[in-house]
Amino acid sequence: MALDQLKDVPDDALLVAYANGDRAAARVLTLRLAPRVQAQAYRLLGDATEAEDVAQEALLRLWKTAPDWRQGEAKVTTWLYRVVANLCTDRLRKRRGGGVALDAIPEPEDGQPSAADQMQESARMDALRGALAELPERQAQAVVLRHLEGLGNPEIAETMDINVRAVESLIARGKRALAGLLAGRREELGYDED
Amino acid sequence: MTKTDKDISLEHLDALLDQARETQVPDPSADFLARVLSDAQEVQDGFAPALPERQPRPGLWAQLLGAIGGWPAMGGLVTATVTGVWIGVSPPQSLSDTVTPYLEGAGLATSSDYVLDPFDGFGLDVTTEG
Repeated sequence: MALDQLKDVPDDALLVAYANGDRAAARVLTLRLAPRVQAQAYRLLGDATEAEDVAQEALLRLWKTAPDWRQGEAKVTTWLYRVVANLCTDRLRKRRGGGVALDAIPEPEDGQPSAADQMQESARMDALRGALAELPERQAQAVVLRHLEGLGNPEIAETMDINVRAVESLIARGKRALAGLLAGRREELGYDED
Repeated sequence: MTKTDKDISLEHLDALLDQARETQVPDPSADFLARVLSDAQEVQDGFAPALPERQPRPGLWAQLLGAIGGWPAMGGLVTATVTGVWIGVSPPQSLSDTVTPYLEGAGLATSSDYVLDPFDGFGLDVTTEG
């Protein structure tokens, strides 16, 4: 099949074609899914190299599972998201207390926040990501899908295969848990003046 | 979970979450895309290809029958010798000696068309009297 004919083909149909040896499907799936998966991983990890490693691993698992893929069950993007979330959680938990290396923060250019501000921002993001990794999986997933991926509650409900009320409940509980987990890091976060 | 003095406020949390969402995501590197595609192709190469339906190889007897035009051509040739070949008793040479003249007579074979062509690979000389 020609590449331009494939651009409107849904993910799962492409995956079946891929499993049947279609080389063009392999290219289209890569170009379509890889940036998306890398972005999700980056928002969870905050490190470009790690995000690419996680994304590559998640997609490798997808390629291997392709022959067993049953259309009409889970969405490909949902399946991928769950793999990414699990891989990122593993990495974040191993990172505990480590955070982003200081030399990863670029020198500030004119008009940009100062190095101190950037470090503060970076520390806050690390703290948030670490706390997310400690949440129960479903709460973390709901909070991330809403607040990091920007999905609406109905979309989250479909992704997680639950109803909208359950989504709202998970997000509310997840955020309360995050607030509690981040409590011990108020100084680091710069919220002590409150 | 009751809110303690030490919890950060939900406003602060929302601000943190917004910041995380707005984080500028670096473009995926070309190297990364190439690696992912390479993985996809490598895994794809390892998939078992869809096998065509296997055609059973015709047995020797089927080849012989084919050469002489199938069962209808056997007609009056159901001699003990032919039957012997069929059940694997008589050696091929006798088939050739016995059957070929009939075939030639029936116009189904010429002297160069030996029913025993399938035996070519065995180094048997079936064209001369032993």
